[in-house]
Amino acid sequence: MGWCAHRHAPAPGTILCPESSVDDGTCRELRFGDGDDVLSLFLHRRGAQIRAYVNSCPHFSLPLNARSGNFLLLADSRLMCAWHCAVFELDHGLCLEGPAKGMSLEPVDVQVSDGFVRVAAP
Amino acid sequence: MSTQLSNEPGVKSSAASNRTGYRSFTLGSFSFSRDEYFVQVSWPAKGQVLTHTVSADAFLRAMMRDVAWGFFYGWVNFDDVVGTRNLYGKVELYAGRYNPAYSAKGLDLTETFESPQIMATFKAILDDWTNAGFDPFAAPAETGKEWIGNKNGHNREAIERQRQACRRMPGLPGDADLRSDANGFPINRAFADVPQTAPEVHAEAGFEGEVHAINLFAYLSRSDVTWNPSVSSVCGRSLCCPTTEEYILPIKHGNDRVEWFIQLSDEIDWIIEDKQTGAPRAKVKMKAGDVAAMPADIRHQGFARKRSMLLVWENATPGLPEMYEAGELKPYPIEF
Repeated sequence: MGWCAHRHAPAPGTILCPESSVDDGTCRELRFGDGDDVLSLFLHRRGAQIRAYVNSCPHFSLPLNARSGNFLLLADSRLMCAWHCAVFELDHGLCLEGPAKGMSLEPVDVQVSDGFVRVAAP
Repeated sequence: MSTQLSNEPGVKSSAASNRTGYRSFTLGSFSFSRDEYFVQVSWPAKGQVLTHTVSADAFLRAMMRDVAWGFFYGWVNFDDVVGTRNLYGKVELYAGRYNPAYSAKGLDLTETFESPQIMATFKAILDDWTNAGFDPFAAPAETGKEWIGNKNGHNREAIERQRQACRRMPGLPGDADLRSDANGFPINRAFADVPQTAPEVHAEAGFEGEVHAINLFAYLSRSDVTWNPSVSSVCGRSLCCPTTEEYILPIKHGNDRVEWFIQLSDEIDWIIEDKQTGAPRAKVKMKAGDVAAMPADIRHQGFARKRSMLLVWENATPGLPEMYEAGELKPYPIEF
């Protein structure tokens, strides 16, 4: 089951945020639903490219950030999971080192149009 | 929303020793060095420098777990003096903090580092001090004595093994592989008699690939490491992390939540101590079939004379440590 099956998954075409709200080299967390049933995604911008992933480390299926919005970003668009230090490259979502090495983040297809980041059409 | 930008500071180390070949390392006010037999951890306190000496094999086994587990849940005590506490994004390194002989006299030190910084330093120490032929993940009977003596190569293949994880359960389509001879997981010498049969799964139409079962005993019989839980099922925040245990748990784990232990085979003797002071709390002998809940206010260390199978059941709910610290949850799951 992919993220699309989540009951709070945003539908294709849904506006996630203004493109300008994702600064270069940063991550922005987006949450859908609440409580234990929340779906957390995050966006990452590297130059003109914005990518999105499900905010869930494949090691323990925990969010990559221990505190809302705070991600441990390393050089070269790499991100360290705050819980147990798995390191991911954010061009493809692959875990390079740490307890989820070789596993990948689940990507979310997005597109930028009219200054907004939207969920891509399937 | 803010983003925490974390630079990766360089690891601070000396040149290789002319005498032993090992490098020495510093992290904050702490320094780490090793010689033929021992590791020395030093820190300043009350105008002097204190030095704590640990056998190098014990130190490397503990360091191996702290690195592979990514500082785990809560406290990883290398012994009664030195250890780390995972603050999830930051990590405390302490000496004497949870040992009243030091802390009562102000001879302890705790410093907090960003996780990438302390991880980089610990990995560098582990890499430099682990000689070829010594596997700090293995039981003593399954590795050499090359931890003794001057620097002699590396064993990166061993120390870069990671904790195995899965999204739901090994063997499901797209999930982690089951262990087999073919993918490098032969049956461990202690489990030669464990049946390797697999359960039959007959799923209703439409549920193929969703209903799954594995022979957990067979899976565990092929564990290539000891005292290193792997995630074998994920259901929400409920994680089953079984492991095979032989000799001594190289660290004293101080829980920041309740952990459930289910002894699947053989025996483990546990020493349970107060998390803050190390005062004895209990001794527990777990035999096959026994279940124990390790409270959130203790530290524990296990001893297994024969390799045994243990299921560690973890509650990975974010925010649990804060709930225990605030007293919203009692440190034990049941009152008698």
